[in-house]
Amino acid sequence: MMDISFKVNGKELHVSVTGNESLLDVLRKNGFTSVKRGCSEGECGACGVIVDGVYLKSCLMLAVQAHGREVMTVEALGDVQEPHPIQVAVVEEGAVQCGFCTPSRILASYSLLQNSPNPSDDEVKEALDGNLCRCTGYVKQLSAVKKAAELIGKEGEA
Amino acid sequence: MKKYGIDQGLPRPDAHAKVTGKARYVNDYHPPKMLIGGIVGSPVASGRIKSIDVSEARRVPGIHAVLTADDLPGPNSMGIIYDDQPVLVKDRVRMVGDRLVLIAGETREAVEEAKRRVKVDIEPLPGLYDVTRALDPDAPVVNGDSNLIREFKVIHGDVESAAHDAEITISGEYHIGGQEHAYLEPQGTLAFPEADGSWTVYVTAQCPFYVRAAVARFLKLPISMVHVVQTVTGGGFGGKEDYPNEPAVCAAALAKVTGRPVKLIYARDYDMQVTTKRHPMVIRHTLHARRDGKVVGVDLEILVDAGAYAGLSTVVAERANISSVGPYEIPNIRVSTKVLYTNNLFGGPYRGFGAPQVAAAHESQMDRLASALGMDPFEVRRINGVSREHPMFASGENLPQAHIYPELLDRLEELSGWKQYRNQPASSGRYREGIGIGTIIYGVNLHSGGQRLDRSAAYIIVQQDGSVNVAVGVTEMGQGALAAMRTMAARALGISEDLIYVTQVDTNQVPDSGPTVASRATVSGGRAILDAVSKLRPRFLEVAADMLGVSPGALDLRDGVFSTSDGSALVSWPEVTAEYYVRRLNPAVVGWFRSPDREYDHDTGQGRAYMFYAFAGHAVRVRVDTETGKVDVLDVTAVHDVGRVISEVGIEGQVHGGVIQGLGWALLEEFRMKEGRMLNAGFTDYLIPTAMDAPADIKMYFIEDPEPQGPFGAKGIGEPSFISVGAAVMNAVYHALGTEVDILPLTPENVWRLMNRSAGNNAAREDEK
Repeated sequence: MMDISFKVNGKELHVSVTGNESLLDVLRKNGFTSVKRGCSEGECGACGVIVDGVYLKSCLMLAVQAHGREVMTVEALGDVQEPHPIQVAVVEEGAVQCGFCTPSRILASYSLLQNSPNPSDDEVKEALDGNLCRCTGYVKQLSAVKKAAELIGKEGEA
Repeated sequence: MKKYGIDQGLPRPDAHAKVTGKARYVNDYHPPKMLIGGIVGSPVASGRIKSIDVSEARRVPGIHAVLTADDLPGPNSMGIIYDDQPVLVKDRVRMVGDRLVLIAGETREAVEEAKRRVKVDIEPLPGLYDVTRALDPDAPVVNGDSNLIREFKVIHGDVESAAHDAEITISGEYHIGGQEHAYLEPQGTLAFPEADGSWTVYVTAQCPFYVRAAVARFLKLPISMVHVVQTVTGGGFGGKEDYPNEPAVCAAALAKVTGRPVKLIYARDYDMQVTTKRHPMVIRHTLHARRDGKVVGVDLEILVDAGAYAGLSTVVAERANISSVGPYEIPNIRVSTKVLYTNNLFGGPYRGFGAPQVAAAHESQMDRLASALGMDPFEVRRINGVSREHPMFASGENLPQAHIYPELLDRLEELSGWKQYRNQPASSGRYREGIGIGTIIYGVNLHSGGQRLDRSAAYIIVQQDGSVNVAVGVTEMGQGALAAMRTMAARALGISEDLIYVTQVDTNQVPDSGPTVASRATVSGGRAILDAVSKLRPRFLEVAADMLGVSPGALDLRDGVFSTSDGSALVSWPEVTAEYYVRRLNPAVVGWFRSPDREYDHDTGQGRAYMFYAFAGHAVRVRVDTETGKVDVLDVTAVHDVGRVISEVGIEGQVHGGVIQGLGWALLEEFRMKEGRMLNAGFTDYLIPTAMDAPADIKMYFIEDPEPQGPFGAKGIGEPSFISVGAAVMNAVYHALGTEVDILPLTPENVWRLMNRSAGNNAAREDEK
């Protein structure tokens, strides 16, 4: 076992981990259950988180690799009372069905919009390509990202 | 601007919990002292167990239970219809992943270690991997006495004489592939004994009442002592109809032995290998027709690859059987649908329930007929399709909805730009474009063979502040049932949707409402709600009338206000509910729905098969790369006969999802099989559509011709949104290439084979097999 510490959503987390535990394992064990386990092989994208500003799949990252870094999950983005504009857009566009892939897709969208505030349709598709969804057919998810970009833009003006 | 819907346009009630990551799926529950469950499955598809040694596994630190068939604390029997499946295999292995050993331990790591230490010795036996050989005299018998589980038939008129009189005959043998549900949340259950001897089971499932029955049976408990809570469910599509019984019983067995909560969550590769799938089918389809385009007879043989256990395959086959003729009035029909055991993947329910496979065949046949006669595909469908003048379905029943089909054809032709695209000059270069259609008829709710389950409850409690609790027996699995129930309850009562709170299914709250399948949630849940409201509403009108000093008949409740027609007397809904409580009146009621009794002859497939019917049609435009065989989808048009739209956002989501899932089935998703093993079990190799595969445009139109038996006139949409997509893709590729298409999925390899075959190399496909 190794003792590591890293920040999750701004708060320091000190944990003992084994060498083969993934960041996904450790986050879920510590109550960050918005990070979902869908495949454990980096394909479904349900376990996406943001580490030091970069969106990645937590099932493919060893927990020890997170030592000293900053992890963000969807819990940090907004809550029911004060949702983030991306969350607002996803709700308003009706881009949620079963919801299992939703938290990580929102983080992937967040990462995209940080880097590209007004993404083209192709950019949006590419950014969400790693987040499988079996319910929605993606259509409303793509429009939700465009809408989120608009909402964030308006917020910036205000 | 909203075009459709009777809802208020509120976000679905579960949306905020889901976007903030707070929605709790079964794997997000961790009760104290919980153990983790695991399953050791068979590495081979067919064999006899010589020994299973679990002694090493039992010694792994942190392991609390290692169970073989001899250690089970309940009956070793799992089949939902036929008693043909054990909980744990004792002797004969029949499929890859067949359960041999159950393990419970403190951590996932300990369980994995124990799984590795189980020593299994299995003597391989010859397996059956080709469904077309299932009834050969020398075929290995997979289960029971024969590989034929059951045969269904449709016999109508005299197909032999139709064959004799026909001027043209079109025959095809269609090899239609299966499909993995690929719900993003894998199968999982959390089961635990309560202090009072009752049990609680949390499960991701479409049919919590099935789970309750299975667990009660296994634990030998009264049904009332098993409390099943459907947790937020991350997709179902049929894959969480009967299958969740299996992990639930396994978790219950481990929890019974250890006395602790046990959570069993499937890993993705195991989930893909062992859980139910859309059935691969071989369909031999012959049409007999006249030169004027009129089909006079249809002769069909359908082989359904059920895998090693019957599960719900016979139920799926019964729908395939009666749907196989399509939305056509054909005077002479013979269908034989054989449900067959093999050592392949476990077949079961999947969105469309056998109908997409048979639609792929009947729609391809119609296009071949059109082509042979030099007719437009719409023309042969107009000649043969049901209509007001020709309302007869394959079951012999005259459909009151038959007039909708011609309208659907008109809409589909118009919206898809058919005339423009179909008449484009055929291209001869590397890229060829084509447009094709598929149309279907779908029996909403359960087939008459399952009508004993076709019932549904809604429990409504009006609270003193005017808010309302609604508990229904149909489940939310992602499709939007909670929102639809909320809308219907609010509309029926005459109050705002934000006063209604609808709960996920909890078996202690509502009577057994049957399964949430067959696109029946809106219809059966909605009808139960309407029944409840019809009993509740007069009680509140009476109190309101008394408060206002008018007669109840003079009052209406709308938009949360009781008023007389002239508006002279007014009282608000919350004022009345408060007074209602002061008067100590009963504020709760259970509403009930049962579908009409139906007579149906199972030997001939004649009678009343379903409660009512819906039509659907898809047009798909494709571009085929003739060098690689890759098919790109340019756009899709969907036209649905839905009776009435409840929510526009909800129905669009169903159509988008159904279309993309259908395109995945038609173009990408293929089981790579070797002796019963799915070589591509996992998302790395089993490809489902991603955001990059979403077509640029999905056009849709909803025909709103209210169904008298549907709540607010609504029918179901979940399955029709999928069923004819594959057929339309096949016909589009047929149009693009001019090559008959008799195989799904149309992966680049399969398209390439079809092209080679048409180039004179007829042996190509046989050789490749």
